[in-house]
Amino acid sequence: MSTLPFGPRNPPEDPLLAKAAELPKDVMPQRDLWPAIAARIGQAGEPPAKPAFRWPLALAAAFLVASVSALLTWSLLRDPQRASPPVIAEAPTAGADIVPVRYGPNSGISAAEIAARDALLSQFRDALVTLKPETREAIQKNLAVMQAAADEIDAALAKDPASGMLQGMLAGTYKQELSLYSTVVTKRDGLTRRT
Amino acid sequence: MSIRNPWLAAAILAAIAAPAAAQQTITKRASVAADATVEVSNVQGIVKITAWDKNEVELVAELESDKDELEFEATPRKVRIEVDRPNSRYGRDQEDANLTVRVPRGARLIVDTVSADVTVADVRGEQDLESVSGSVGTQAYDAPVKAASVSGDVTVTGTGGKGAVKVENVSGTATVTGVLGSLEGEVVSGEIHATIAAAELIDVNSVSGDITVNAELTSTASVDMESVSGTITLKIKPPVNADFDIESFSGDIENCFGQKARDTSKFTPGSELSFTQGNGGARVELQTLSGEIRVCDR
Amino acid sequence: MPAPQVESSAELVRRACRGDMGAFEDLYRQHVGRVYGLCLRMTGQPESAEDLAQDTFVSAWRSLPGYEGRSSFSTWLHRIAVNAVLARRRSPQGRNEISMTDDSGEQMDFEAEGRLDEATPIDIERAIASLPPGARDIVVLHGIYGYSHEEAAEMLGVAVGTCKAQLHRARHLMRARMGTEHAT
Repeated sequence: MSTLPFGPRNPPEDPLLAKAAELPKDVMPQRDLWPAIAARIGQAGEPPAKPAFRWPLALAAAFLVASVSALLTWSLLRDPQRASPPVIAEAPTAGADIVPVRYGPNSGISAAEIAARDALLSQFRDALVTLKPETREAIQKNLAVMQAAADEIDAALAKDPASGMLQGMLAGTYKQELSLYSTVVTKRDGLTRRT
Repeated sequence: MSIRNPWLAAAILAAIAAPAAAQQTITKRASVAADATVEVSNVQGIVKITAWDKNEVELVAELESDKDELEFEATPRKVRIEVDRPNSRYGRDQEDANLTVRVPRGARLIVDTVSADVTVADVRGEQDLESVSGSVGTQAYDAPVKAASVSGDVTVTGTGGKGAVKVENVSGTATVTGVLGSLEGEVVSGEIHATIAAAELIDVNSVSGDITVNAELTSTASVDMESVSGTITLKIKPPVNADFDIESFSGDIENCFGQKARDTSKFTPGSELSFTQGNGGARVELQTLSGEIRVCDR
Repeated sequence: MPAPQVESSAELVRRACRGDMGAFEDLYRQHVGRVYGLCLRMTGQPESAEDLAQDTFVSAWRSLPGYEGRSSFSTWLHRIAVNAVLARRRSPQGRNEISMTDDSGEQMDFEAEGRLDEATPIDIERAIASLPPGARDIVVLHGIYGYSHEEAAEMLGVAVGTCKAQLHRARHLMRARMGTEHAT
């Protein structure tokens, strides 16, 4: 397994961190937050449902990036042999300007992660019309760069599937793709459309 | 989203929506705190922000399009400036909105543009500057600076302060010079060129773009540089006291410390190089899949 | 007369899933200190922390059917809270509230609330509050709340190596700011 030998050089736990561990875990807010929470949840007796509220567009994109990246990091930390079956995302239908990155069979990226990416991608496609042609072209070229990287990493993972370095690079490429879509979406919205 | 939104405080002045005639110049002023937050959003044109010694924000907006709406909201703690271009579609709306803003030296800045170029000078507060295709240029003092663009170039010039600097590009070039302390950077195909002194943290990565960093490391510095296929060049000011862990899947590892990379494993491809230079202390981790890694002290 | 029994989180979750707001309020009362404490230390802003703590419990109510008990309820709430903090930090509203690296730590005022034990080392709270966000996050999750590097990395959406680098940096900055060594 091609991981780097950090263990023997790690310093012992710092006394400052030991002090931090002694800090109180509970800190009470100055006021009781429950009335406001209850008001937002709704009438008493209404059972919890699947999330129905819609985050504002830009916040949704940003939250999605954070959530998806956490999900991806978690899946990369799992035993690769127990990883959920990888999904190779299909190329979009002919005529679409933007071709999202396809992750290969060794990437370990799950269907849920691809779905999260695709949800953000649809918002991104809406935002594209506001961009100059040369900017759209730059974005297309960079998606092609990311695709080349994903292909290269996938081929390398075929030879060394347990490589933490390669898995980290793949996670980085996926996050770069999401970050690109998120950036364009949030800039398109401007300040007035945010909460 | 939240019950108590500071933006809805009673002190906010009424938003001014000013549908503008073509080639209109609008000037606005507001008295603010020395460390007020100034938010600017623009679509196309320029955003030029400079500091002055007054606790005031002054905006001079030159709007070429009669469809643009200018919003200017001010409280003592926050000023919000936005050019709203309804139903903006490139091809029809090629007029610029040029915003020249003067702010207190200690102001915090948040700037978002689609294609407008952003330049900031002499502002000492925290900065978060982002554009899709515009260029972004600013100076770093003691407060954190983030400068990002998808396809525009990003330039951050240090002034001797220790504010953490973060740069992000997709295809533009990020150039960081003369900063101290902390540098984070991400590019896809663009390049990063950086010089940093008294470095405590360097965390830079690229997909295919080349990364070139000249650094003076502290004794407890933490350096992480990674690229899928770009070239990583790290030049460390001597004397070098660092622990190195360098890994490459198929690219070359070059160094001037006389160290030789070895195969990671006889069962898998890849080479790695781990060694201590001088007394050790700083931690340097460099990784690439197929790019080259070059590390030296000259 | 026997003391009233405190219901376990598991039982309260079961009842709350059926729409029992009283049970969810009990969950709130049991866990608000840890949720607010985490939000406060990650943001350095009491007002933002209150908003985020509210958001966390509202999200938790809506996500209750998805809580499968694989982690403790407290950990599950913390994951929701961290996501809320990070999302807000990335939003333009949140960027306005980013804590400055203030050496005096004045943005956090634990003393005014009078809720901490007299012996609490205020210096270390201020030192943590004055850290840059990335370093502060890892000290809060790993140092204060005891999550492992891997757990903290997953919650923050970063690589484990990045977490370790941030912790390394945080320790150095804290030592310098608490005056226990000279910064190099």
